[in-house]
Amino acid sequence: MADAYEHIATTTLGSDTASVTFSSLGSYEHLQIRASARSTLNTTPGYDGIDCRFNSDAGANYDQQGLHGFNSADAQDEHAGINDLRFWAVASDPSNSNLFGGFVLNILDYRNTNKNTSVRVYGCRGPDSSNGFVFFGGALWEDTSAVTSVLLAPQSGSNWKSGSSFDLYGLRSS
Amino acid sequence: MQIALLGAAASAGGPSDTGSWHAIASTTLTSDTASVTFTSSGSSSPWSDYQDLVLVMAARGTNNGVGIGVTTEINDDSANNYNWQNIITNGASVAAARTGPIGYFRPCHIPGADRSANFFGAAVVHFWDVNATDRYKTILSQDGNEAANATDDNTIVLRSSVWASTAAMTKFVMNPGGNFKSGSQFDLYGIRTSTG
Repeated sequence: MADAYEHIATTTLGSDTASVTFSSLGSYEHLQIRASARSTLNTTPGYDGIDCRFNSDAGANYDQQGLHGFNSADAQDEHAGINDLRFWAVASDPSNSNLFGGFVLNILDYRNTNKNTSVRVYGCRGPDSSNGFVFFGGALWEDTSAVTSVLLAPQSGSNWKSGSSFDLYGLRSS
Repeated sequence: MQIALLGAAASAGGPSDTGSWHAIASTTLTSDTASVTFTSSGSSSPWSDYQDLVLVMAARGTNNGVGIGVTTEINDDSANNYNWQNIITNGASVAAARTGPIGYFRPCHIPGADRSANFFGAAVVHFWDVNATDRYKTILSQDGNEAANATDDNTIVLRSSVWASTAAMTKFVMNPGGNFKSGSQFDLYGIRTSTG
């Protein structure tokens, strides 16, 4: 019997790296990426966002809705027709070097060519004594192509920090 | 998808549990109980076999309260090494807050004895990199507390917590103040970076 939830690939960075791409996605119903990451962005207050693209598509084909809390501020954001999927958050260089961010990115029905691809993500730049960031969002890639590759890059920083890890899992429907 | 994923994993807890998501410990209370403890040594596989842990819980408290915070310490550390950030709504308003440093974190809130009978609070709690000794431990809770058949008694919370320690996690203890109500359930899963 096939396993319902299988590990597909791991990328753990040995040096600062601009982006991570998964391009062997297997044949599953859904994908999940779990990451523990940090950006080299050296800007106070020490967090960065995550950009995601499917199939190297840099067109204005992504829509997104998000809810986030940063310290005492709650906010929502909505983007339509943007060039990548944007979500939050990981720690970045001004913060304690032991502080990372975690996120779980679910890519639903990614091989189905009859529908646009839906995404759900939740993540956080773990709080320290000064700042914290937590995020929940949904998104859509306006393309009916099967997803064949997933690129993840820091939104404002030049690189992912060495030690950042990204794990890709596949979920079966039976 | 999370629910489907958890259902698949939970049903695979026996010998066929060979994927990357393993059921490693479970506690269902048969009497009111002051605290619930999970340890690496008490799990079916040591936590060193896994990269991440996920706790799934449905619980209720014996003290009164609309949302009793479940005080939790990792590795018996009660020093001020925890911070958390949340965003919360009760259906009427939304708020965000950061708390800490403080001597514990709260993965969830649960209904108390004065709330509607048989209402339990639920949470899915992700622990990243539980064995990594080069980073603090990041925790994310998806917390839903349905306390009564009335508006404003119910909350959902997305909460990020950090345990500011580079030690590997080997234990955590959850304490609601008073007791957890009999019937409260706690399931712990380990996520591998391999299959099998």
